[in-house]
Amino acid sequence: MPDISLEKVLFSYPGGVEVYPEPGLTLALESGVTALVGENGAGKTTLTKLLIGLLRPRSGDINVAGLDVSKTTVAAMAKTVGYTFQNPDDQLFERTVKAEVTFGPRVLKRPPADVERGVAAAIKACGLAGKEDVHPHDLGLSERKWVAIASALASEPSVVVLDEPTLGQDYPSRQRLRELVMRLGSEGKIVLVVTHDMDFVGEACPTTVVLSHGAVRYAGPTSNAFGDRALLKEAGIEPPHVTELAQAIGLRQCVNEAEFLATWRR
Amino acid sequence: MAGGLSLYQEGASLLHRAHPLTKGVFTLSVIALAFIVPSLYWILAIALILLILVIVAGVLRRLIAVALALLLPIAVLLLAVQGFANPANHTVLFAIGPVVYYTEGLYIAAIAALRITCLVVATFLFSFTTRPADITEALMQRGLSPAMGYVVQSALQIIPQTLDMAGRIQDAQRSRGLETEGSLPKRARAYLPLMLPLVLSSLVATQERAMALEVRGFGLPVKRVRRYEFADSAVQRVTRWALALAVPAAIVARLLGWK
Ligand SMILES: Nc1ncnc2c1ncn2[C@@H]1O[C@H](COP(=O)(O)OP(=O)(O)OP(=O)(O)O)[C@@H](O)[C@H]1O
Ligand SMILES: [Mg+2]
Repeated sequence: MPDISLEKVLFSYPGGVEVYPEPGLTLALESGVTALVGENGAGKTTLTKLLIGLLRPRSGDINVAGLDVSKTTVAAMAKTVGYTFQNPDDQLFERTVKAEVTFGPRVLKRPPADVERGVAAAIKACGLAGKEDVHPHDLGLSERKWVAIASALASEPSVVVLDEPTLGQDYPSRQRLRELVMRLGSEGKIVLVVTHDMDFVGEACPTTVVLSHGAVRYAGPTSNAFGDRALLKEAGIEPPHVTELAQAIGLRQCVNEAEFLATWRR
Repeated sequence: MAGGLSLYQEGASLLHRAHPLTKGVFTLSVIALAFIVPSLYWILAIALILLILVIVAGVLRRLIAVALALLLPIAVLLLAVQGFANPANHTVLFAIGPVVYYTEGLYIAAIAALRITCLVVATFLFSFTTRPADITEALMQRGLSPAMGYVVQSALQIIPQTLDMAGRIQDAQRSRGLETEGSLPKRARAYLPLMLPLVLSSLVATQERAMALEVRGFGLPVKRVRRYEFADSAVQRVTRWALALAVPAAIVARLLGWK
């Protein structure tokens, strides 16, 4: 059984159009890191909110890590799923970074030792050490994104959903994010990353799902997705620079610098 | 958009098309009348008119949701407290063991509950069918100063804006494990963690709005240009005057002994 599955999911916003065309969205994801990419308005954020139950489908089945989402409250899903909103300001409401990060494990009534461990690890992994007492609103967008990520990680969820974590991140921040995502993947977690940053996808996400106008256009190894010009064009995606470079000079398909160098040297 | 900054719901009904002033006068007078008229039957008549208008406006389903969340608890509380404990009680309606429920209390509670229902329904009916911006615009076309117009506009936005913000904060909190759905005790417990962030972010929002206004040159001494005209008619003008005069008339009638 796949770790996340959506079966013929139909959804529309009140008064809005259908996000996923008939017969609905069907998708299966295994554990490890998966990138979810597609043009603006493709339905990526909607999909992630359906996974945790913040949005409820009109029809169709959604299963996440053995949980039937339709029969589970959002709060109960939060025991398993760490969710970060695309806009950190939709997520942050506490008065200090520490309080914000602690909120999840605290309301989930984790044992004090687990709370402390989870919070400390999340703060460290997200580069927030020393900022525990700062008001999240006094931080910049990039750091608020990190507070949001730390808040989702603090309860040590086995499924992690990150909606555009790469937005507005500088180079060291991107490196940290890459390490974090790859580590979570290697720990056997299910990690879903929504992003427009294809360099990041090539570096950190072995699997890619391409969503375009609400339909899954591709789901499989990232390298194949980047090889398909027509697919990328349709979904408004520019492949990573190394992929284009390798193609331009007639090298074998590659998705990140390491692969490029390995191919180049051969 | 439905959520956003107002409760307004797009539509083409009679109520949607009516002049904002007509709807405003109607809402205020109906609320006043519901509290002035003396007997249950008069209030029922007003409630019936409101119900018909709600159906005409096509907002019945949304209103039922509001009624269940807001009015039902109030009504139940009133009926219980008055029926069991009003000092005027003496006619027994029924008894459960030693606990007696009285007719007088039931009557008093029914009147109070229906008045509150009229108040809430009239207010929501108005909000569902009138764009907040139109109210301000219409008032300013009648000579209201822009500064007062802004005050009116802000006041109209307080409820929808707060609801919107509360929804966002609750989404953030339940996505991290705070139970906000399900039984009443569970929802009551989620209330406290919501209140503080809600009050704080409301304050921030107010401040940001004030800054945004200044940046746009609000308060500069320039002549305003009308955005658009609202369709008005003789019927509407007469309705407005009739409604506006009905309120003092009803008060005078009550003073003269209308029962
Ligand atoms: N609250 C809402 N009300 C109505 N329509 C909405 C709402 N949120 C999103 N939509 C619409 O639903 C569709 C899917 O939106 P969604 O936010 O899932 O896209 P996305 O892939 O996350 O885009 P982006 O890359 O811009 O974040 C879009 O057409 C969008 O306009
Ligand atoms: Mg999105």
